[in-house]
Amino acid sequence: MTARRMMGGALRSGRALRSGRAAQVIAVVVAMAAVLPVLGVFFDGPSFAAPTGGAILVAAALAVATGARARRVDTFILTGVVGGLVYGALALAPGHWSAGPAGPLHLAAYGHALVDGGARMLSVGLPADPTGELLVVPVLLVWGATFLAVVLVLRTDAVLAPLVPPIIAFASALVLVAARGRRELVATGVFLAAGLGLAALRAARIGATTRSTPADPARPVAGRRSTGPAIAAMAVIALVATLAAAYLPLPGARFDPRSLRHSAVAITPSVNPLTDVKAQLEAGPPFDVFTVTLASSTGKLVDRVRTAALADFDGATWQDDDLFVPSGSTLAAGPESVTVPVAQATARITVKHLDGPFLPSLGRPVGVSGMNGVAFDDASGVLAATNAPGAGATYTLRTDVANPTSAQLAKALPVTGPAAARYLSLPSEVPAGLSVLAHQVTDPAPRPYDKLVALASYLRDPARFPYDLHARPGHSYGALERFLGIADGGSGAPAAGTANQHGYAEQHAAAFVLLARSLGLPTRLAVGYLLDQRSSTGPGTYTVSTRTAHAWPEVDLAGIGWVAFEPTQISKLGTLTPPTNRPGLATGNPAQSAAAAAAAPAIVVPKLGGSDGSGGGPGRRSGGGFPLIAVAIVVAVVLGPPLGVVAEKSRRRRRRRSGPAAARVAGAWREIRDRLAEHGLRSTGHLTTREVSRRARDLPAGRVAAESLQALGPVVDAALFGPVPPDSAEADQAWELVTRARRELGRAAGPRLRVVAAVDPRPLLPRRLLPRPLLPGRASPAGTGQGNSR
Amino acid sequence: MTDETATAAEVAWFAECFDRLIRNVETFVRGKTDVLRLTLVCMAAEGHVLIDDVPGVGKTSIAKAVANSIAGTMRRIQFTPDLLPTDVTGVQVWNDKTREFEFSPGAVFGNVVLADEVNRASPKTQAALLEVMEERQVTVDGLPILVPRPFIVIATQNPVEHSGTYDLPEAQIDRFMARLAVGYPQHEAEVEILANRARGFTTDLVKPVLTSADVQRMTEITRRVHLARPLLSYIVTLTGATRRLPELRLGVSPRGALALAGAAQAHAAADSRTFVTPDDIKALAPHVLAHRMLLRPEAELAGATAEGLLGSLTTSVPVPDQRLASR
Repeated sequence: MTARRMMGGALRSGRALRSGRAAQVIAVVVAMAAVLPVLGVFFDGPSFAAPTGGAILVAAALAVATGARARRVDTFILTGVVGGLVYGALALAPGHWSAGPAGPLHLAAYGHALVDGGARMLSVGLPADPTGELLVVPVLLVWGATFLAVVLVLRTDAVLAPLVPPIIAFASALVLVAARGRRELVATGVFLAAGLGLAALRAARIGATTRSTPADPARPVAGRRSTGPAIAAMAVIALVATLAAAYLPLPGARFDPRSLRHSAVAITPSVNPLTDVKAQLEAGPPFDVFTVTLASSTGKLVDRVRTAALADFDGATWQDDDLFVPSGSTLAAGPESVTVPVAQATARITVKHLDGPFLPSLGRPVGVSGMNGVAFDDASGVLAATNAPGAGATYTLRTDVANPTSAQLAKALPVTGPAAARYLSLPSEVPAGLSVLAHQVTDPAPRPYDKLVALASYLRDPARFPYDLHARPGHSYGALERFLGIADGGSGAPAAGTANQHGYAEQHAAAFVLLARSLGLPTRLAVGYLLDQRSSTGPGTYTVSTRTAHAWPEVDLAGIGWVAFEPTQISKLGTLTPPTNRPGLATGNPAQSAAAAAAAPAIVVPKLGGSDGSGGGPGRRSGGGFPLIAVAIVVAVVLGPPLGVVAEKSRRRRRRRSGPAAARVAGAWREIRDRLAEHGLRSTGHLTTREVSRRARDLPAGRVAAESLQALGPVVDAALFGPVPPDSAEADQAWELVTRARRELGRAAGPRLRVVAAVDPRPLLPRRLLPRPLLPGRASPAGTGQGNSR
Repeated sequence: MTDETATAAEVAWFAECFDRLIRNVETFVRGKTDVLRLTLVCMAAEGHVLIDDVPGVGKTSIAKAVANSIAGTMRRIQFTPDLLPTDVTGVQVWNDKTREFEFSPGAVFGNVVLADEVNRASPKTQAALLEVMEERQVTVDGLPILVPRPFIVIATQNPVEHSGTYDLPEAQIDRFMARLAVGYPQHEAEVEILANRARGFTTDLVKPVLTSADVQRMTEITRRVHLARPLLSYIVTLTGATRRLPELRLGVSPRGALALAGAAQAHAAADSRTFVTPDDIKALAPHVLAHRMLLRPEAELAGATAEGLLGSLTTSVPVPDQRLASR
């Protein structure tokens, strides 16, 4: 009996797969299968499922086969590891490798992927192409978890042990796809149900075996419960938990391990894209940059192509701190949700001479094909090339172009909240006149969109801000103050025609962004090219040259996305643009939008981003709830484990005090040993009652309790080893002595040590006394060891 | 053998006899209470004792004093290389008057047999002692002849004096319930020993305080002391673990486990308990088990001792801490 207990979690030998275990293996497979939908969020398309799902099935089969024969732990480990590696090499052999190495070369790629697959997974954009490099880790994770879980199912009696590997696999998968919404809720439900079912099956089995062996009075025998209701209860629990989770208010951003890892791709343009606009416009002989062929589901086309989007202004220059990650053919969805009609467009772009890393794109890119080494920032929707694309490089872009009606546009509200904070921040030392001017220009307009249109037409007015490509370059606060004529104190209204109000796209666009931001409208600066109809060589095909380099502001409108406005007189560019199809462009008719101006809601200006213009305000706002959560987490982390320890100790005490008298005396003995362990007398499992009380006397606190302990020893001995079982009076006496000894120990230790003792987790830890080789096994008495016991 | 366990009154009588015996022997043997107790525990468990120590520490004195304290026949055999097996067992001699062969009992026909310097006899003679120790009978000319009960062999041997000695074979050393070391006496005790000599007090003057029937009753009570099943398992775990120790050439046999169980019962009765506790087992394990554990030479060279290994075993085998519901 003692020997059986001591063997504890050791792998049992003998007939492994008995009836009942098969159901448990199936439960493991189902639980592991629930990991696949979660991984599906990570990968693009369903093709990842074949190697991963295969890993589950093959690992389970191999574990069952091994479990039926092998009897040594190292055999299992070896089979699991070698099996997993071989399976990975075979399953990921053909066509999974991005570089496409054939034959033995793919083994080298496999090796590399084993080493840095995990790192790649953290630096790739989601959803990722299921390449071998990215599949290795999930396949091995799923393999290992399945194999281990099945082995534990077959070879141990521990109820919860086989759940641990699947839980680790599932949690790892969840962390990998963090912050991707609630799509994995159903999978979680299935996982929960399978896991709880497995636990129920095992608990029922253990209960059955306890009943058939000589009863152990110290542990109350599990009631005669059938598995059916238990499984039903588990299913209900899983269902309720899953549904409840669906309605839980989750914070927007879950922990994403990618945030801890720097992007694998560093996209740093050598020239600021905004300053480069003028350089391109002035380029001696203009040269072609790329050609683009557009096709749209609605037939409508855009009039400009974006290369870079700049969101961060430091008072001197605009730049972009986007986080680029390598992306597959499907690009990650952006943070905004579009409610207006969307046109699916494709753009086939052939590069001729492209400076800088940014790739031309339009709308919200959803997919890119035909080019390797594409990096993508899902926040801004900007594409970049990790290696500068040479002349002739061609790629096809799939993109969603929002197609709002004029009415939708006129009613649109700016995006607010943490997502917009970045596009609202203004660096400190905002010119005082900026906000005044913005309000002066836009106050007559009732709705946000009207304000933006008013702002654009104000800046586009050739009388106030004449277009001049030879104006002084620059877009710093100072330059824009001069440009807007608010340099002198800024209190007075800017007089029309003040000197230095010449400018070109750089100043017009930058001024628009600052004015719009000071009004609380999330705005960014886009750099790219206008499409010149004269350079069109076919329907929807344009050859874009440096002559049409341009910069313009874009405003984030809720439900629509980024909408471009035109504060520059593009007619002065010397180009002829195609007729615009996007009502969002400010070239549209202002009168038309003014028509529906009746009951327009006021602009919702974010609290800290108001007219006082204190920069960085909105950034702070987004972290408002953080300290509270952090405090709560800290409190939970600090208080949780000690409270758990105290609760578990009191649960054990209650359990030890219940049951038949003999069990209660044995419980009393265990209880006092645990309490002595808290006061310094540890690991007393090999000591007799007399030895324990003798050693307790040497403890600082033990001397006080020595008398109680000495009285307890004979009571315990007589109860445990005496010819007649103890009666309840003896059990009461034992517990009385234990209570007295506990009190004496506590009093001697003092209040501080008493608290330390109460939360000391060490008495709860299991301890194996006898080293494994000396354990009584099922070997033949002659001690021939591993021989044939079949 | 009856199944009913010893009563409190029986063990109280046992403990009283035990104490009387100890006090009596202690009038002569000073300061060796532990050794005396162990010797008497073995006697009560009907086990034989091997006292193993350097010459002159009182091995023979202890044996003789114990033997004299019991009103029975005490025989002494001084083992020498030329001692013959028939000297031990006895021999059939021709009686001229009755014109028949008659059995002339050897030296083992006594209640307490003191086998002095047992390792100086030839293996053949040692083997003659072997049978009688285990079977409590001698076989002469094919006829089994029972020895009187109680029958206890107290053997002494000398570990230092190796020349002219024959090491006891494993089979024979296993038949001793316990091997005890005496050790040098304390200063005070040694002074007392000298004083005794001056007064002319010898072992022969130790008076018997128990009859051999009393001793037989004690052994009978011992067998009925309750030994709970978890403790049987504890004993088997201990002895089984010695068989798996890599340092050992030979671990403890099941006979060793039996000896430990029996000795533990006597130990418990001497403590006026009707049941054995783990304390009894732990106290006796080194004496009952150590001489049955044969070390590998390399372990011996590395400084391992049977007692040390046993000590580390008892600190790693958990003491049973629950009662079995029913048997």
